[in-house]
Amino acid sequence: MNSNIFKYFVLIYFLAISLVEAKDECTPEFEITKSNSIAQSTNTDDIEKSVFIYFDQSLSMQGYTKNQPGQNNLYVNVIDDLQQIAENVGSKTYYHSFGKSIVPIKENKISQVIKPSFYECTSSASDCNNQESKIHLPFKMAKANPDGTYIIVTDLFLSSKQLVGGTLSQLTKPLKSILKKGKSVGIIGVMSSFNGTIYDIPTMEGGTVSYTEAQKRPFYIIVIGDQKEINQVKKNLEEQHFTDAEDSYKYTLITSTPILQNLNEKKLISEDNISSKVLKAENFKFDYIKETLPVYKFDIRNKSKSIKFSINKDNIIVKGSNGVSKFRIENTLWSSKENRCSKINEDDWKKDRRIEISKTSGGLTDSNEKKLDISMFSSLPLEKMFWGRKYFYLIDIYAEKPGNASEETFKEWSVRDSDAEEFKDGNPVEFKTLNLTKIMKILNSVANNEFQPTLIASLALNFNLLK
Amino acid sequence: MINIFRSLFLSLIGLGPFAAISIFFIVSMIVGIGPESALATYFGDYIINSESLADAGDSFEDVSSYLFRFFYELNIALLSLTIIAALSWSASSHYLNIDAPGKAKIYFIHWAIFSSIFVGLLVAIILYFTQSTAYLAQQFLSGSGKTQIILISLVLYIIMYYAGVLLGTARFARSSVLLANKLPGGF
Repeated sequence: MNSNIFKYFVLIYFLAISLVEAKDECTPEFEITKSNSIAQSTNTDDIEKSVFIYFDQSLSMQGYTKNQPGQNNLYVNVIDDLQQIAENVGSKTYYHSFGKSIVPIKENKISQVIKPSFYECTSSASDCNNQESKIHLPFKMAKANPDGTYIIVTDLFLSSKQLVGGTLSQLTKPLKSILKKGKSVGIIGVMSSFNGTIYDIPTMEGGTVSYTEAQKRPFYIIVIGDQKEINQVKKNLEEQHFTDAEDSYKYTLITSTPILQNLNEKKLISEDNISSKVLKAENFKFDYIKETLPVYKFDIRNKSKSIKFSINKDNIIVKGSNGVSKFRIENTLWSSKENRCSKINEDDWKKDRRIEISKTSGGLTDSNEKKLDISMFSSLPLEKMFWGRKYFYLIDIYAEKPGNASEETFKEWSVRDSDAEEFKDGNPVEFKTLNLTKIMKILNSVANNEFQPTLIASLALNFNLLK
Repeated sequence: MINIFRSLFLSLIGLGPFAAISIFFIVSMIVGIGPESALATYFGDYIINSESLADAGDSFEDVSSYLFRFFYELNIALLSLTIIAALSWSASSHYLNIDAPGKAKIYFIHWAIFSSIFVGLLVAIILYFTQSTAYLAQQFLSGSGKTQIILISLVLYIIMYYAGVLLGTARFARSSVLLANKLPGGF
């Protein structure tokens, strides 16, 4: 008998506690927006991957293999180590050259890649693989077998006619498919010494000319695969070769998912994200409700200015990616005439019909932009709201539009078709890459088409507005 | 003393009709008016900021209790002040004892100063209710609504006070009150 009474007592006690806790949440009825999964393909299991390396065998590449007095030959050093870097990434490495077609390279011939003879051909021009570089071929291979990691070494010297119509779609179609599968494309540009001939420089008349005076010229390592593997290749190269300040290299990540993560999933939003004004406010409390929704509770005067909420770029944007050029806010504001939680019923919460409440600082594309700032209650100032009430403000922050940072990153190494002849006539020591900006634009546009607006964070403010 | 009581009685007669309007309004506010009533419609159309309320998801009904309290407390304060001022002047006018050339003018100066203080207090009370944050309902009023409250209150309570002092002022000091000497001898 006594034991039954005790059990009932315990039951009533816990019921009372849960009711008090429910009341303490003090929120209107709402659904937390589910984040659309951030589709970065990651290999979570331990299955070792294959790595496929493709060397551009066109004759213009030959100049990288010959030393240029006074200049640092990074090509030879980097390619020398690429085999070891590839082994760090996957279990088996396959080597190919590409030009007119893809040709496998036997293991005992790999060392030839850094020798001038690798790029020479004694047969007739039509039989040689060094007369053109069909860069879309390795992309096609990557599309066919997306589980592998693909490394392409090339000078990316593509004429305008290769970047239009059918030739262009040969490149963009497989790229689209690769990005759709959550894969990314990392482009590492390395300024290396050059001692050779650059072919196929377009002239104003429509023909082509060659140039032999260049002492430096960038080459590119394009890595297709998971972001993790791309970063590993980049990190290894940085550690081994790009240690000197004068080593000029550039990096960008073409991806349809420049968003690193949803901040709610790992509960990465804390008191540090909100302005100190709120932290110092009366009755401040920070808590997660409904498992993943951070809620800032406080009292604030209606004369107060807007409330700043900041998110570190590194927490949301994939490093080296194009970033996000536009963020979007979706928000809902409720108010209750009754401001004591214990007395608020569901019906007391009234939904505000105003939706222009807060503003974002803009995009996160530039390397100088370190934070995404949200000015909460800047469009609808607190002084325009009724004081003496309790408010519940729910805000979802979306990445709306991807950026195009890579175009800016590689801009200084690019020369347009129409400017190529004039540029060559200036006898430059450092030769630029033909249509590089255009190539970046094309790659970005494919990636941006695949981009889906992504929820990066949801949070709520629960505050009493005082007079 | 009998003259003072007579003055107070006459003053109350003067205050009566206007005070009745005010009391009727106060009682209506305390009891509460229906949402379909003419007064509620008037409030909804001209006094409150319906747009702001609708933005916040509220309607007149949601905030009516705050508004009713605001109005009856405002009018109780103004009515009390007016009655006290009118009766005070009516009683104290019997103690004005001026025996100097141009005494009518001096009587008028006394009345004008007293009345100015009354109007000043009237304005202060109205502004306290409508412009300060003392009352939550103040934020539900529109700009034109506040102007109407200020004007209607001033007109009603100044006329009420004037009627009270017009009839209640001591006969020998009648010259102090504007137009009071035009009253028939019976008063």
